Amino acid sequence: MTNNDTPLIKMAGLKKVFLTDEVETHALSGVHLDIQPGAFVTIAGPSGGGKSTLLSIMGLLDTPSEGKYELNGHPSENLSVRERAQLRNKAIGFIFQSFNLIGDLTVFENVELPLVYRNTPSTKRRTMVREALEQVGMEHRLNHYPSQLSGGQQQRVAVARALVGKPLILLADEPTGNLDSRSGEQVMSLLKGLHADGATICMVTHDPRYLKYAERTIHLFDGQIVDETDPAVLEAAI
Amino acid sequence: MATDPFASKFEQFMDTTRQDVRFSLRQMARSPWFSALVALTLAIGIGGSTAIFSVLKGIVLRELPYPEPERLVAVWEMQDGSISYQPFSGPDYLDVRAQSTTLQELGVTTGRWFNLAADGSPVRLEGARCTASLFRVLGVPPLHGRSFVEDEETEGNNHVVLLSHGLWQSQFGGEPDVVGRRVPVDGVPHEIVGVMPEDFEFPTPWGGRDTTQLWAPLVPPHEDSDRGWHSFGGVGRLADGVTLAEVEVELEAIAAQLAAAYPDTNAHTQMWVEPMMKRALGGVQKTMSFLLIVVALVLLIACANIASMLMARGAQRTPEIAIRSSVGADRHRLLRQLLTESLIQSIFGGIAGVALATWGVGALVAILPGNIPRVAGIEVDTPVLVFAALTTIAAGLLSGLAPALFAARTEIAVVLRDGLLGRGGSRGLNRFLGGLVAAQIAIGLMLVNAAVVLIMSYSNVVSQEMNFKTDEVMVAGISLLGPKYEEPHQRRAFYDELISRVQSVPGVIRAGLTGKLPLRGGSNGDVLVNDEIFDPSSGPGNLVEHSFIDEGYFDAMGIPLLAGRPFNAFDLEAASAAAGLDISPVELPLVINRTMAEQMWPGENALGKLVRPRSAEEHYRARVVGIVEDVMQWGAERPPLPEMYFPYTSEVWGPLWANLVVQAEGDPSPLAAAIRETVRRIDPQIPVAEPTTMAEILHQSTGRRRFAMLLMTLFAATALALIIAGTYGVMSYSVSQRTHEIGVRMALGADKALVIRHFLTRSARLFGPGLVLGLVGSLAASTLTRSMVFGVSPLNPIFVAAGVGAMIIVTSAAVTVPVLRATRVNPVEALKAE
Ligand SMILES: Nc1ncnc2c1ncn2[C@@H]1O[C@H](COP(=O)(O)OP(=O)(O)OP(=O)(O)O)[C@@H](O)[C@H]1O
Ligand SMILES: [Mg+2]
Repeated sequence: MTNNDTPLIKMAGLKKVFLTDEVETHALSGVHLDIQPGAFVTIAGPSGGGKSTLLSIMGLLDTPSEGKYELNGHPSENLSVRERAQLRNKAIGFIFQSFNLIGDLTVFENVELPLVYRNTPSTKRRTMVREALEQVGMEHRLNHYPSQLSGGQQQRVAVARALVGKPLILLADEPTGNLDSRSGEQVMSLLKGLHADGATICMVTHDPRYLKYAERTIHLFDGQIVDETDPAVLEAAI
Repeated sequence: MATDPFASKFEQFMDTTRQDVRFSLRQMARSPWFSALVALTLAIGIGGSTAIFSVLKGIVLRELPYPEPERLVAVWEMQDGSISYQPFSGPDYLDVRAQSTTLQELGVTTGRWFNLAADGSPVRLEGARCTASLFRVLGVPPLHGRSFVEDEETEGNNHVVLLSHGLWQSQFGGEPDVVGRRVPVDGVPHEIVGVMPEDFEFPTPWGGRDTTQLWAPLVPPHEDSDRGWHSFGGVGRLADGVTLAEVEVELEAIAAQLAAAYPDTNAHTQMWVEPMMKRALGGVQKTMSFLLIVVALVLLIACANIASMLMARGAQRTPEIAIRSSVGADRHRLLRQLLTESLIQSIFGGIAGVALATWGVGALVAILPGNIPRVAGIEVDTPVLVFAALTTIAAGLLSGLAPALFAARTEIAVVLRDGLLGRGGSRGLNRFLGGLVAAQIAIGLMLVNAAVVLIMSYSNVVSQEMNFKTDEVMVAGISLLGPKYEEPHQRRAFYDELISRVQSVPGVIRAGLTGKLPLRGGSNGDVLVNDEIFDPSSGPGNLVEHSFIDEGYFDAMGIPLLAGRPFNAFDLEAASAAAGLDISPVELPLVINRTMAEQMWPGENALGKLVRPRSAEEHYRARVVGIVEDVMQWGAERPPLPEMYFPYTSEVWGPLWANLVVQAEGDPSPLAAAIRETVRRIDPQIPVAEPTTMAEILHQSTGRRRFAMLLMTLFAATALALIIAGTYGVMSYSVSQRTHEIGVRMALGADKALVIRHFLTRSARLFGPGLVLGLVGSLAASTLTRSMVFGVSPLNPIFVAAGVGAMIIVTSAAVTVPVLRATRVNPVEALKAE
């Protein structure tokens, strides 16, 4: 995919060093990465390779130790904590391996949360939440609590929460990791459908079966991108 | 969209608040026990503070119930420039009232007993004589009728009385037509001229509670020879715009003028004023403020407690906080949510606290010592509720802020990646929790120390050698008033009859009479001893307490004789004859106490020595015939002053008021009825006060100290309970966080003893700084509590050690259970759980 649009994600020379008990861990050591709007990128690589770290930085949950990161053309270095929170709210939708729904909130309230934090009026919130839940096929479970849902259903609610605010990009860290293969398939086809409708997605996965969904796969090894593969080639290799 | 930016902002605010409140309530409902514990802890802190505040408000912060109360002042005389509460003499009062322009009005009063026989059966009432001007000073009109007029301040015209509302209700059935009715007061018909309103409070210049039921006009003595006789409490109202200092300047000038005109009596007399409010409180403010500080400390412990509970729980909520921030909640928003939760918790605690306070105020008023003034205003009313509301908000913020700040600082990336919180609370959080425990222990130690010191002080006060019998001695007040008892020999005949009849009551060992009782104050005067001569220009003389007694008093009261002899019938007869004949000067027999003997005649035998009044006129001349052991005169805490005992018959007008003293073989209370009956048989018109024991009088005189001690002990115990709960909570949390670590240690070969040692060392590290801090705090506070300490040093190493020991026991108890639990960790399980 080569076009002249400004990339949605633009990372250059990105490094991340963790300091724990005087041991330095180089989780990322010089990552260059552009993601165009509408792309579906997967990140693969061995455990400890830095995949989650990269996604956290992309989602403004964490800051790089060095290097440049621009989100939708805005440099992220000079953002205040508050601006980061606002940008996260507007531009990013997260999906986690361990669904991360709030147990004391109903399905509706969980999905509503990003809209609440951007002060959307409640009538408008209601229609948007409904739409999002319809998209993931969970509109009939509005008043259930997460504990009353299966894992696959929880993850679909989490997807609804990620997309309800119409973010610029969906970030998913092993979204199928805690699911059986059938539920995993369901979630993946959901993401595929969203991508078909124009969503930009960046997903970390260990599972080679799902690499095929993406147009582009990045391999992270020891904090560096070692290879970019066409999914077709990869599939052939397995 | 929104047209009015303000309206939409408000809507947003309400929307957010609604959500936060709903979420808080849901959370509370999900862990009802935890919520109940938090609410209970807060209720104790808020309820205690509110109850004490309502007492303080009722007594101290309430205005005096008179128009423009800030203009009311107590006016006193004093000698030789040292501030003392010397009452006015009649002529001095008249002169000041006539000359002062800075005082708009000045009145005087003196308390006394009245015998009222409204419907035939006599009752003995506390009342007051006061000038007509006093009611003008107060500015409170009677409910019915009128108050006194100047004309009634002369002998013969003064047979009028004003009734208190309570007396009107109890003795006259609240009938409005009592005004104008004539009733026998002290055996003489008096006209009722008025009834005071229900909420009227008569000033108590000498402090204490207003118990006045009846007023009669005061006829101020106006002879110059009366200037040495000080017995009237002055109450004045400042003229418009006049300051206290201006009054004192004027009084100084008047006093100087009187000193020049009447050097024999007034050479050293000065006058001073004090705001009536300060007077009305009579020192109670200090006790109550002290207790408010104490209860605020308890509240602080409660807040620290809740903070640590919330923080331990906050750790469990880390994922929720992380998720919220991943979808864009910023710190402000999170803080707001968490503080809303604390406030909601706190409101529940506040409501329970107010309920507790409402009950507690009733209990407090019931145990308030009788000499604490103005209890009528103590209730949970609007200002108290406002105080409770503010305390609730403060407690909510105080207990919620630190946990919220820590929670909002969650490292979201880590938490979200792991899906659960990383093991072990953050080091900062653990350190803060440790700080909270240390602070609680420090405050707890201060409270426990204060309680120990107050308990010891109280025990010292009540276990002092009183030098009189307490449990076996019963006393009853009698006033011999009325035309039948105008002559001293008439009174003497009554008392002789009374004593001999009471002595023959079975169970009575000895009966006697005294004008005043130990511990109950009295009167005093300067004396000259040996061959000293009166010199008005010389400095202060020897101030000596005066008592008038009969020959049976020392035996009946159980006061030991040290030397010489007590009075005998002959002494009384001689004194009486002399008084009757008005031979002046008369040489009277005199018994003095040990302190007087040691002060006036150190190293000498006081027997046979001569005592005279320090005045131009020599009313008496007395020779020491006996020395008795000291008894305390002014309460149970002031060391005995020099005292002299005269035969009661030596006083021309004494004793109109006497106390019958009866020593019984055992418990004297069954004798009460017999004593009343004996008096009734001699003269049915003479009422007797409810007989009481000296033990009860001692009990009353230590009431304020007991009150402070009881509350202090209660609060310290509450604090300890909170601290046990809080320390237990924090230690359980810390142990539960370390289950994995313990498992690893045990897998690597550590045995139980090692694990226990590990945790005890950790606890010691927590408690050590708390104890040190508490000790420093106790030292600092000891200057505050000095006035409440009796016979002990707050720095006494034994008490300090006792306090520290108590804290160590308490905290050890709190850590034992969690630590024992830690030793039962199964290493296999613990490691698998990871
Ligand atoms: N908060 C942290 N503190 C210290 N080191 C960290 C932290 N987070 C990650 N690391 C380290 O950074 C490196 C990269 O971790 P990361 O979680 O990004 O790997 P990953 O590729 O997501 O692995 P996995 O496939 O197991 O999830 C690892 O060595 C890890 O130990
Ligand atoms: Mg990972």
